[in-house]
Amino acid sequence: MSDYLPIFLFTAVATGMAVSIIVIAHLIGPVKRTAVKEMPYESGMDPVHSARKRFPINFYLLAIEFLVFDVELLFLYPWAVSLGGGNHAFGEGHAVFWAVMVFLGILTVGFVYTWRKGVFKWN
Amino acid sequence: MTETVMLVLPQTVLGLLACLFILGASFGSIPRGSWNSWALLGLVAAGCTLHFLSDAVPLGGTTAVAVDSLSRGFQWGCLIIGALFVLMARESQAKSETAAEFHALVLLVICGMMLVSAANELILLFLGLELVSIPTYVLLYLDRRDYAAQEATTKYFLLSILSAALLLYGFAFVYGLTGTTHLSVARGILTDAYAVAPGLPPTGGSVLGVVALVLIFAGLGFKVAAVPFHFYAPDVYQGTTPFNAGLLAVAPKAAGFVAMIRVLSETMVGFEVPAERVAIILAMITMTGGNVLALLQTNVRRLLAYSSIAHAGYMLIGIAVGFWEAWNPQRSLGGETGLPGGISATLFYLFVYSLASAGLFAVLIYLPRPGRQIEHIDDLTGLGRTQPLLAIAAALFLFSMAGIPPLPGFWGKLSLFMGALNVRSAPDTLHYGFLALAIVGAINAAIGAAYYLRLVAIMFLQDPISVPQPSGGKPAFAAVLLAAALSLALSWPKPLLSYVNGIGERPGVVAAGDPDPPVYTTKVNKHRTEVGSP
Repeated sequence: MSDYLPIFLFTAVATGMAVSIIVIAHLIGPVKRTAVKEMPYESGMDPVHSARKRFPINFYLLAIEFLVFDVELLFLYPWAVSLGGGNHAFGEGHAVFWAVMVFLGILTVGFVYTWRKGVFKWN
Repeated sequence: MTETVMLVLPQTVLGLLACLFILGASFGSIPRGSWNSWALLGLVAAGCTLHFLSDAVPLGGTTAVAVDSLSRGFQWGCLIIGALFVLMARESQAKSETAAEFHALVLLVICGMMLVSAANELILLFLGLELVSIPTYVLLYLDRRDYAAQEATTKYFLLSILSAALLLYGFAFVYGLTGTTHLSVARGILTDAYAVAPGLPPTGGSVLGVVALVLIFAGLGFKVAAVPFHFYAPDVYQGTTPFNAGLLAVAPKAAGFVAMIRVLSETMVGFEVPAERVAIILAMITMTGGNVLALLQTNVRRLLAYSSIAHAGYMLIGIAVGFWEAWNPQRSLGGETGLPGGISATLFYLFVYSLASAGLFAVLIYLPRPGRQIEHIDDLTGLGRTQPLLAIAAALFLFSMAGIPPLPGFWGKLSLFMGALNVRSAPDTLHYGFLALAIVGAINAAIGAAYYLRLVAIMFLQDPISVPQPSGGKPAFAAVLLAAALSLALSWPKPLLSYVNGIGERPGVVAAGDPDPPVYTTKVNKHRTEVGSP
């Protein structure tokens, strides 16, 4: 149990920090209520309109593309570090290498598709 | 590793082909009409690899893939029904801009179903289920983009990821209980920990197992559209194309049931009694809810959605009986009556239902005028005069679903209900539970017949309002006839029944437990003393 003490300490400090910041800001910060400041989102789009309004999705597609590579990296890093070790749960080094190559291949197919479909064309 | 890859060769063929389709779509020099033929060829190729797969590797090994009679038979079923679906989409996709994507996604759905049936491992099983779900999100929005379709897609997406989360949570508890994700190893561990002499009521196992059971039931309940989790089905079926509705009525349901068989009834030793209770209750409310609500519907696809919910209820009877048989292996129903046990009855019913569903939705694809769908059941008025062959085929499917004697739906219902009736040695409450289950099932079959026969009456006993101008094309018509021919052939149910009956014979309890490393056993024993029985 004592192994986890730092984690509990960390949790306590993090919670305390967050709570104290909110409380202190509430206590000593100046408050000026205006119509703009009372809106749920102070910046960006006006949040009240039809839910079926059309909007450009370029950013969202790019974000998804980023996510794909982000997750890919998450897998590749431990793979790259442990590849030389030789003794793997899933078989020989070659098999592990090609397994990840298949994974990369599938992701590349998706990437080529989005590329050819013009996700990165910014008009 | 290489061995495992060889075992999923049919799935690999389909997945690879889907990737090629996506690449082809992005370079776009292949004519739109040819994708369908390529998809059909791909299914044939997958069938060939399935046929020539190396000798069966039984459940019980530590490979992640199980090639046993259950998975092989199920995969053949997937390929046959999948080919029917690809065929019925041929005409509508011939000119579609997104034909390549469409066919790639359909192939992925079929690949996912096959993967679920072959999974001997929780993670692979989950992957297979997601491979069924994720392409359907896209499919739902690909061919129809009005408000109803948007609503349907959003509903299906949100509920599906919620169910996936529940399922994973349940899997996590199974892992916590046994320390392994391999189903056969988990079975061995649970057998060592909780099994009692065959025929005696199980001790009940640990609380964790019951939690896992309920969560997995809930997660898979969404997939098969069992009643408390069914709310998405009618709206989604109504808000999408008949093809997608048909695919949704078949693919997630089949995958969900085979997952239920793999994870729950084959593996959860020691938790059979709570599992039986859950399955009995779920089956009763699913059948009744689906059938009663179907009586009120006037939209054809909505009606078929509720009918598919009701059929999930019938199939859950078999799952409940399967749990009973799991702790009464020597009383397995197969030997006594010549009718299959619970699991085999479910599998038989699943195939028969899928066939009838595919056929009915093919009718709905073939029939409408260009640019218009069959919505109200009155759109089918007088079909018997204007399209006699089609109407006869549709009536065949409806009779089969209603369970009219010579047709396969009747044999499926008979074996399911007989299974529930034959449960005798259960403790009193459960015994009456199964008796009630059979009675409720029979009543529901009668309720169901009402709305199926109403459709038949509309087709044959009323004068046509207008002359239909079918736009679905010859391939869809061929799919209808093929499904009808298969249904008729199954009116002689012996071959398929004896085949699924052979599937139902599960490996012996002890034999399945053999390959587990002793490390796991000690782990669970320790766990057991900590948690104890409820």
